[in-house]
Amino acid sequence: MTLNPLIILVAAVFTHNIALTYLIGMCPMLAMSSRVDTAAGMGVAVTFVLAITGPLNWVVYKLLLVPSHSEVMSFLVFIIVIASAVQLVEMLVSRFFPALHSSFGVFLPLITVNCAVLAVSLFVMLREYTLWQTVTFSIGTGIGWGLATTIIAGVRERLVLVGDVPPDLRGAGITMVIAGILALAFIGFSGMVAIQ
Amino acid sequence: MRSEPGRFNLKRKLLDVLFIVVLGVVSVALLLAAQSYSAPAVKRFQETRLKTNLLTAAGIPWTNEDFRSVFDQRVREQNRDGVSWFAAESLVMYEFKGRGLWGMIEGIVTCDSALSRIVNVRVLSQEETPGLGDRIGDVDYLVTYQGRTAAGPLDLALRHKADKANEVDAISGATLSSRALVTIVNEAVAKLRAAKGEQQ
Amino acid sequence: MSLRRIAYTRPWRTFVAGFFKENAVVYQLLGLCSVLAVSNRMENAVAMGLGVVFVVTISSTLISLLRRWIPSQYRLITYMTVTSTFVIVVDQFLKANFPVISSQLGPYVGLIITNCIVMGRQEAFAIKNGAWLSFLDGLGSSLSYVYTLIILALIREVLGFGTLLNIRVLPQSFPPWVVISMAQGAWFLLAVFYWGFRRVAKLRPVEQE
Repeated sequence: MTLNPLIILVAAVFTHNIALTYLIGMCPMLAMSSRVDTAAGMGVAVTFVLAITGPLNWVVYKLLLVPSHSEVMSFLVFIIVIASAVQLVEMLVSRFFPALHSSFGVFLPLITVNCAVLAVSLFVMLREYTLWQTVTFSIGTGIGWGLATTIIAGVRERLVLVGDVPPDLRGAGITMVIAGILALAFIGFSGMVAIQ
Repeated sequence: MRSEPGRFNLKRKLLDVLFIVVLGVVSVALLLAAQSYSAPAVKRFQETRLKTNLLTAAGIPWTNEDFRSVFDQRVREQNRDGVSWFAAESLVMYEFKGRGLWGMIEGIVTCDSALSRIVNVRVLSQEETPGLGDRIGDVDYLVTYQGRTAAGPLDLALRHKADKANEVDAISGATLSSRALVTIVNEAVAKLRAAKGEQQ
Repeated sequence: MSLRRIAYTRPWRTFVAGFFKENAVVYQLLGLCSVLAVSNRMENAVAMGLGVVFVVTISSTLISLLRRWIPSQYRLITYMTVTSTFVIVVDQFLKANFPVISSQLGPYVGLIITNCIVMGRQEAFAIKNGAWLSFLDGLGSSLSYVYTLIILALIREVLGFGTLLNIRVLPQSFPPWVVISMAQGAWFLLAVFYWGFRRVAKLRPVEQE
């Protein structure tokens, strides 16, 4: 199926949002959504990592794993590529954006274990995307994840101002409720576009 | 060489790299060894699964001991233009493979030899959402494909129960997986029709 | 030693901490993706739970045994490499010898490898503790994941499908709550569990927002 890469980009952000439709990458989403600026910053970092690792893993898969019939190593190889890319990004951020680096703290290296990053590589493999489709899919997924996290952060910030969340539901509890409402809302996009 | 914090310690760095290299080599070796260990058994299992499902789809009884000989006697493999299918008991069976939501869906679609009706659909393997999408593998769900038309593509009946010959039911809460399956079945029937042509 | 005194030993306290107060799902907030997806039917919950217990306990033990050699800046990648190699090797073994079980567990393999609980416990505990304690820590945390799954599945399967372990328990006329059988709806149930865990069990973590 020849799918327009731009359609894939838009779909990955809205109709097939990886956090709200596929429900992948939730743990960092809950952790990073307490403030809008951290959420948005993390979204940009994740998008950057995805923009690198998505196409890179495509290349590795097509040029190395398939010809040598070693697809069993896909998981392992993808993980190594992702970990290396994240370390590279961390070095760049600490050199050029030191303030951002200190506000991210330990969460920047944790992008390595953000399931969304690995899931993109696996989906690309499953759906047999071309390189361009992979590029737009990776970037779109990053933006989609960042968007979901930022929306949740925005709602949470507002709720803190209003201030009547029951004490035992504060923090992760109310975030789960917000995520649920948002996920249900995104079901409305279902079936609009086919990207595989 | 004493290791001082903040100084570039070559020995430490080399040991670290060595660890990573050893870890990588050991992991790769284990994975490749595991794959070659399981490859023959996996192949045998897939052959068994295909043959027994083809026999069941054609309504031919079999047992664990005799299914291979029954298969060789009663089922013929035919091909044309690079497409192959199986024929038995005035039925044709085609093995299909396509993309689901999370992984590949493999199965068999059985039609009458004139390709006018779908006799049944069997799903051999799928990786859809547990509890929801994975019901496309349930025999109870696949009943909706029995007797449907093979003359044209099937539609998913979304807001009502499927009652027309070109409709199949969807699974509540698993529309995408249901749609993936019906798309794959439609493509399979079309491929079979194109290859089989008017040949009897 | 008497049963009473066991309660004060380090191994026991390690196990109980993971099992009880520091529930992997609602306290440590690990393994959420899989909880939402898999807790919709009891049989899925049990299958996934057993897989996670197996992988977390052994992976934590492996990391603990290797801890003196793991370079600090390559910790995460080591955890992932060890875990994914272990899981895939076991998966290949199952494919060869128990193909029916393997095909039923197929979709879970990916969910187990990327399950944050595995790495979470390796980073928080196994990297700095001995093998036996790491094993118990893994066991406690993964069992807390299992009972969370089971409690959620109990509600989700009954309300979402009207069955429990595929046995019908509600009449056919009961309209199934499809929303709660989908992962999107499970968020709300998880929030209730989170709230209940804190309020009823009076288990409140030190840090609040």
